[in-house]
Amino acid sequence: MSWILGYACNSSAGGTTDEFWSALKDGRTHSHAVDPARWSAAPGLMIPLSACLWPSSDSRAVQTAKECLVSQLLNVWMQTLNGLDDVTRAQVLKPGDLGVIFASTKGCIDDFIFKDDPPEIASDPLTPILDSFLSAANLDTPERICVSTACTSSLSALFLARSWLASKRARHVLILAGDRIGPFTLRGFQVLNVLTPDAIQPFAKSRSGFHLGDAAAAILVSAESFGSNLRLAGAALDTEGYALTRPSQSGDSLSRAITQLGTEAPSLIVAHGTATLVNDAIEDKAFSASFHKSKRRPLITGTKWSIGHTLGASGAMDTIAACEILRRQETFSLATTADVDRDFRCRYLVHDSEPDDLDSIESILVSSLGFGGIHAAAKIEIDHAGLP
Amino acid sequence: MIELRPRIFDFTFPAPEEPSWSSLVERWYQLDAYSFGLAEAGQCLAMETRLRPDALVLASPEASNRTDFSFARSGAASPARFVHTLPNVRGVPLLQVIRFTGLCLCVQSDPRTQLAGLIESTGLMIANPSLRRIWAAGVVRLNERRFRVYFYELTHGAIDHSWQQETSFVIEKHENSGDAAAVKATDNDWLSWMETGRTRAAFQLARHLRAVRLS
Repeated sequence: MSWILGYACNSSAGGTTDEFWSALKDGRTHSHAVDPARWSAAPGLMIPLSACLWPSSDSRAVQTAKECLVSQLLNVWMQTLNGLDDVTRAQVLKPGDLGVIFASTKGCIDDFIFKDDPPEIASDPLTPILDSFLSAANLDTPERICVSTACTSSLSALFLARSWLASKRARHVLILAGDRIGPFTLRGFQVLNVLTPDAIQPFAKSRSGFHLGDAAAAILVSAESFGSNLRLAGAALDTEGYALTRPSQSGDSLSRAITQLGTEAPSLIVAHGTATLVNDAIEDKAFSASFHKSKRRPLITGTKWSIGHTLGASGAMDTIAACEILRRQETFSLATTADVDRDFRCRYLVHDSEPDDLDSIESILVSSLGFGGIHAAAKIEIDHAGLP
Repeated sequence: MIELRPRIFDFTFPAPEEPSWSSLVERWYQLDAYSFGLAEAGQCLAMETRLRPDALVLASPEASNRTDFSFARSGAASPARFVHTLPNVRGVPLLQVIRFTGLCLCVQSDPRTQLAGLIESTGLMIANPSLRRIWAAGVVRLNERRFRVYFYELTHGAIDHSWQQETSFVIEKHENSGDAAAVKATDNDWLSWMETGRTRAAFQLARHLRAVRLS
């Protein structure tokens, strides 16, 4: 059994989980035009361009990507730690008991990539961030690793964390997730033609893509509950070799990941919801196929319409949103989506919909899709008996 | 008891001729060296044994740095190059060649990324007994045109149809030696121990794991 002891996040919606929640509840989006002067070194970057950047994004002028991410990860770790009671905190920090996994797509690659005379990187671009974080946080643990499975990186980290707990490699695992948007990812996604000049409208008939977003998140899981009523009931991954980027139209791979966690539909799904033509269609197909025998038709929502696609952190942000829904017993909608694609079969929480059959929210499925044909799902449950 | 069998494949990139698996991989000629090498080695292994792994763990030092630079230096205009700038994506041609779907992880921990791949593979087998066979793989650049693929097969005990190789190891649980350096060993330490047949019988992989030479 794995329990979620605490979590915190920092995104374009603000520096706390409460601010993230408020943005989702209030239907606020956080896309802004990118300052062309900021990334003038990036060849071919086509402006105007919108992205969901940290409010403190001016720090890009003085901070490297590595410094920025380490600082944001320390911030969310301290918030997570401060949310624990004294006894739990002491247990978590007991030497040798805590493992740390860092999930990211590109780490600090922007510190090197568009220089006139780029230095040789002697390391992968994630490990220096994790090492600096551990040093700054005074966490000397040999159980540490970076996971980079594209946009499923966070859910891969949750999967790995459960494996660590099951094999008793660690008693608690801190999952850190973070990506800072820079010229490398902006330009790359621009040439892929998936960035939209419009609002991000997941599952809408008129969907046209997404904006990228900054985020850092921390999720602390443990083999012991320490009074927490949030369970990480499962995490699963499935990779298909269909194509380098796009998933197969069948949705079979995502469906395989989902059904590893059971075929009874959850109360709600926090979908990847990138608002691209292909991805949204595949999610709809996979959700329908996975739960077609279930009595319940789950409702589907998502977060990217508000904070953008936060890449390696997106699964962690969605997991935190799921935890907040379970804790508060409230939902939020896809606020920018007016008309759901008529070809879709699932039930979507759009801006004016009010679910009338959601008395109690017991379990939430989080889904992710990533380049490389990787698909992931995680299930979070709440133990109502433990609620005050 | 988990058995570990390593295999090494050296290759030249760009390849002098069209690979035998070209029909299985869409636009194979656009692959970077790392994707190409994994597919090439995967094809060799697939021909040797028809058994597929239950899971794959990709662990290549330097992630996709060189491909990232290649994308940037070419004007950052090619979507075909950009899609290779994630370390897990380079495993896709391998998946296609060996017709694999299932659990595929990608880890980084330089300068001990290969070791991390082995440790995570072992951990997955311990935590999930249904995983009977895991392949861990990584690619290392030897010079401008020469590359080396490391493939490691991990299985629960000895099994039929395993790879044909002379060297094998077991990975076993072991108390921490107390030597902090032992768990900070780098890939180079591991490869040196594994390949040169040094006399020391065991190699401390992690706090509670060590590799012991069988043959």
